[in-house]
Amino acid sequence: MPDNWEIGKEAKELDQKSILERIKIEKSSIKKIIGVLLIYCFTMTLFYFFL
Amino acid sequence: MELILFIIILAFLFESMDSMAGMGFGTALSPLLFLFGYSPLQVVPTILISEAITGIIDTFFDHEFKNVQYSFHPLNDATKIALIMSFFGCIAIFASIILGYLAIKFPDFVIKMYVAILVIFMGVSGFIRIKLIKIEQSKRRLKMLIGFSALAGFNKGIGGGGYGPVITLGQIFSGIYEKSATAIVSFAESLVSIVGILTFFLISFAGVVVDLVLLPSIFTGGFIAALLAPYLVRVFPNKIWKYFIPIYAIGIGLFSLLKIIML
Repeated sequence: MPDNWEIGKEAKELDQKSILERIKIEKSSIKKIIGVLLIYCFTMTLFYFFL
Repeated sequence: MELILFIIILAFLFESMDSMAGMGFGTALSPLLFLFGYSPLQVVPTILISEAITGIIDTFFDHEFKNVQYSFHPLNDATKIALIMSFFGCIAIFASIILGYLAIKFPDFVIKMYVAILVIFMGVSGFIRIKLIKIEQSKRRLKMLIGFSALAGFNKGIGGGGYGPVITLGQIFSGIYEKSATAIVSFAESLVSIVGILTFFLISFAGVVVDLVLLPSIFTGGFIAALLAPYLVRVFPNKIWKYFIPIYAIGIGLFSLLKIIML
């Protein structure tokens, strides 16, 4: 077992980059955000009918 | 279905803080809702359901925005730690709900006082640690981490709360990067909340009536926060979270202490 955690490696690497690099998000992430917003609408519809 | 604006705003604020600092949603939001006249059976199950769903979303986007990386096959360190902490948390929440239902009470004042002081002490230690001690950040301290997870579970199980602050600061003391520590807490808390919901279902079969009138409002506020907070954790440098987490823990501890003294 190694002495150091492997946790947070990518976060540390990202922290070495400029804030502009960290602000940028990939297209695939935007698609996932839209997908999750659709889940929100679906959940609220369920609440509307069942609560 | 009713949406209450000030509840949405409160849920958004406290879920944002919870996602970014790993603590505070239940500890801070529940007493405020009690103050507004809502009952524990309206507040507690609602917070658990909301926390379970928003915790999953938060976990997904923490992974997506690279605050932490999870892997189930094979299990990586982050996933293992989240599962270890969830294990203690799940036992704790099951025990606390069943004990509450059976009206078995430990001396409330002493337990809550002990947890509030522990959280303040851990917050102060976290702060001193940054200022005075140069610890090798990522050195693996697994036994310490398991110890803190068990302590957090024990505190929650006896009804003292403080699960988030103890496991977040416990991870940081055990050498885990701050950004990743708060992300792992969201994962663990979502699993713990699912067990909490199942336990509430179990006692609802025994005739306890659960009221979910607050759910759409708390879920809406929590949902927006669960999308936004992982992004903010990614954008702001770790140095900010290093200070923010212990300071917020001290604030949560003082708030708990004030609540005990005033009630």
